[in-house]
Amino acid sequence: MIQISAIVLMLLGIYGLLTTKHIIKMIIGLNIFEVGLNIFIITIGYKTGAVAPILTSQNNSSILNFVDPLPQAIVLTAIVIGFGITAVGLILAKKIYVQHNTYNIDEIGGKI
Amino acid sequence: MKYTILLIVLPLLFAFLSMIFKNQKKPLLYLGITVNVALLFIISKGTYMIGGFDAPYGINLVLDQYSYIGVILINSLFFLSILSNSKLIGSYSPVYLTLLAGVNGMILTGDLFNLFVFIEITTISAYILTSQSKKYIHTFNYLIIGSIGSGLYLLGVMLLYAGFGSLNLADIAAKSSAATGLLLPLLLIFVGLSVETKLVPFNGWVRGIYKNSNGLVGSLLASIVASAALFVMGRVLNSLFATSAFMSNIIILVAVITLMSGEFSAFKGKSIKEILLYSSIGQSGLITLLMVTGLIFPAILLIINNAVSKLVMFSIADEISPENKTYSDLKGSFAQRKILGLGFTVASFSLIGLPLFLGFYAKINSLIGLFDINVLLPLVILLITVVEGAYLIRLNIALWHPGEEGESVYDVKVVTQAESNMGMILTVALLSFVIIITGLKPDLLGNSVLSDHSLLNTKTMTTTSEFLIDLKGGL
Repeated sequence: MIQISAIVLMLLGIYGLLTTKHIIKMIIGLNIFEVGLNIFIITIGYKTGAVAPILTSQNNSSILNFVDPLPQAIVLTAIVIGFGITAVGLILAKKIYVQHNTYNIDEIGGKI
Repeated sequence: MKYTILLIVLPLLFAFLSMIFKNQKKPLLYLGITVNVALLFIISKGTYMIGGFDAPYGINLVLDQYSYIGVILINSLFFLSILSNSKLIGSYSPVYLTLLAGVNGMILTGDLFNLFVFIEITTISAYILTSQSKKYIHTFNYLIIGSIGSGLYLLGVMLLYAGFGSLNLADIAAKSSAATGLLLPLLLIFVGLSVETKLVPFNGWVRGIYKNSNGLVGSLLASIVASAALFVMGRVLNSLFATSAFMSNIIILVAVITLMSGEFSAFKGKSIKEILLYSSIGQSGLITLLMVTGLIFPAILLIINNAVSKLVMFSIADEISPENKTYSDLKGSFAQRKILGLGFTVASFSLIGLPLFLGFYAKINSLIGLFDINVLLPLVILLITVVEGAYLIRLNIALWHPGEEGESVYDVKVVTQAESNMGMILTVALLSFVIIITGLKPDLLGNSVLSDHSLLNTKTMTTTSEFLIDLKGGL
């Protein structure tokens, strides 16, 4: 169920990207896409009723039901990369605004 | 010795150092690229594990014959393009070093998630470099397409992880050879990689980016980032996609459409950079076509040929017309710059595939290989070669021939050879020499770079000596 909602979230992000003309909203759409992707990755390693893969005084046996920690590590990296891309995108959006005095792609024209 | 990781780590180290020592940026950039070229002489082939975990669990670097060629090509061409366009570096030295680390990592890594990280490092550096052109809307376009592409790639990789419990390319390739139902993850991975390799529906960003970038960024993107992406594409296609005939057919179709649309658009191009960018798209399609049909050796030759030629041609295009005029306004501009002009002509003839140049050897090798598979594909390549020849020779005639008296609209500013860029002249002369020598004596490539013929283990390929025997028998 949660996997389906993650994919719906990704599709919503792509839908937003395709339909909006506003540059900041496009960056928001990209972020929604990335959040959906990250949730999807987390669900790959999820197991109902499992514990975090850390040996503690309460959970001190390796035969316990652990969740897979690798998708969590991957999501951590993906979040950092997504942050970097968002930062570069916002810088570009600001530069575009300074150059054209608008955020609307149609008004900029996109002439090559 | 385990020096291979230094190809990735040292450029990053120099990049961070040049953020600290801001007035030493340029010396650190030169030091970084020189050290990387020096490292090429001491690295040895093998598989290196990182962090002490063995291959399916930890990340590994794979330096086989295939990635060895890639690393040599990329680091030496990076060195030469920085050298020949040194006046265009500006204050972006750390970004160039990060780009170098990213492309080296893309070629070397054997781990699919690690590949995602290196693709992102490379593309973020590319976004920053291309924003130098002040055409921010094109960079923004590139950023959106690139991010969606790499997001889809990551989704495909994670679906493979959910299926096989591994991120290691070789491990997944071994496990997936008998598996079915891989269409969705493979399709997502292909779409993700297609953005950087400029295949047809995903190359909308190329026009705005290549056309407006200066000589250094243009030649880096067209020769180095493109080659790295194609090397990655070849490795992934031949390890993961080898079993899926349906996917292979889709990719062949996409590659042929890319090839034809790129070359026909180049035929209509008006300025030198426009022609070169469409020609880059066409060459990417051709190389992907060869990769997916398993002709690794001709594909590598074409990557080398394309990278060397595009480096020379992009640098010269920016040198003679930074403001990107149409080539009919640049009539006779090689008359004052004979060495650059000769280099441009040699590179373009090699791109067409005329005999005596490296491109001929690459193209005839691919034709011979493709005739074994299909009759239509070689015909497409021959047709495309005619188109390529038409526009590149027309371009050369326009740039060499000054036109009739009073007809030349180009305000000829007399530039003597001594005044123009010495680094570029040396680079162009060296690379033209390489193109001609390897064209005349292809065995030189066979004996040095391609000495070990076990490039990729999944499919067979034509080796230099086999090819020469074939050619003699055929003639």
